[in-house]
Amino acid sequence: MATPIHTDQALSAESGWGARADAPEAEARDYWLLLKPRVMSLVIFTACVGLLAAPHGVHPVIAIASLLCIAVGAGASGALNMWWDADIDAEMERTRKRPVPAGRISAEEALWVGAALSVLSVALLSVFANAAAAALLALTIAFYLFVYTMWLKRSTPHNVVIGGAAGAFPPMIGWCIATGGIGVEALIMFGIIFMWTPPHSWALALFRNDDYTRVGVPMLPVAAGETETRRQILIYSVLMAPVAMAPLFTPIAGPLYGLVAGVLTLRFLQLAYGLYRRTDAEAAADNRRAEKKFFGFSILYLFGVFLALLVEAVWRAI
Amino acid sequence: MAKVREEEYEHELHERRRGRNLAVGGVLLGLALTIFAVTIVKLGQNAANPF
Repeated sequence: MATPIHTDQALSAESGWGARADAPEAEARDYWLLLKPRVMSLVIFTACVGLLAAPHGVHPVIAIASLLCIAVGAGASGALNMWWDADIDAEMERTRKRPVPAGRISAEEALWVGAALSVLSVALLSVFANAAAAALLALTIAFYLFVYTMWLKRSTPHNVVIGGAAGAFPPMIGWCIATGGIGVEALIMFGIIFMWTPPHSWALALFRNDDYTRVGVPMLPVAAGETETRRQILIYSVLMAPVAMAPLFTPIAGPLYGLVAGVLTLRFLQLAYGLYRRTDAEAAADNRRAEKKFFGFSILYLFGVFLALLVEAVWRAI
Repeated sequence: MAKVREEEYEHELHERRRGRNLAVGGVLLGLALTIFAVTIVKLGQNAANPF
């Protein structure tokens, strides 16, 4: 009996991209997903706020080109993360449909895409903006890959506490693009995201606990239990509150920021306290509804706080 | 039957590759335009402040 020439396996082999033999060949969209576009959008937004909040203006073309570099750098980090975590991503419900674990793009290719985009984004940012901003972008990518992904993620429940720094750098890079350095305002914006990351990530871990347990990633609920995680969420939320209000003591924030950040932070604390008061049984009974609500609100919170800074910056400019 | 399946695969394969090629082309064009625009701006700034 004649064997069909183009079986799935033959197609993948013919493609030459080294993806899994039983998976369809990658589409352009798969390469887009490899760059973690949702994470990228948050990075662009916070970097944009950092850039616009800075006291010195930048030519719009330089600003857009520089933000593109940051976006590409963030995407490169995502690709490198998918390369390293391909084994555990395949086991987790939340990540198993990503292009690498689904087999549409090989881990090796993700590595090369990530490495190439890292070099490209840093090199172009040094030309478009300045060497300090490029160095910060390189530091961010390296921190996310080597410190968070390769070292902390699988070794300590404090992974997101320290690793959160990687996600906190973008507004600092934005500020650096405009000023060529780092100011106290940039450090405060860094601090807001840095302190916000643990409660945000632990809330996710509370309702994705099964995923992390299965692959042995020692997220706090896996390592210390849900009760302790709720307590830590409250502690970090309380610690985050003064940092979130700190911009009021700098020129980048005014009454609007005070109002928005004040209301949102109070609500953040209220929800965190609500989580703290819950028992494991109550959380299990309602399918972790409050944890999901807190996670959703935490995204809205960061967006709201940075949007307020953005509006203040635009208001000052006009 | 096998021939029909083969043609479907061929079609899908070419569709995917076409999409990828267009995406790569778009990205390269975007990169070239970005570098061009930044060059013009930087040249303009330097022309305005030659010293």
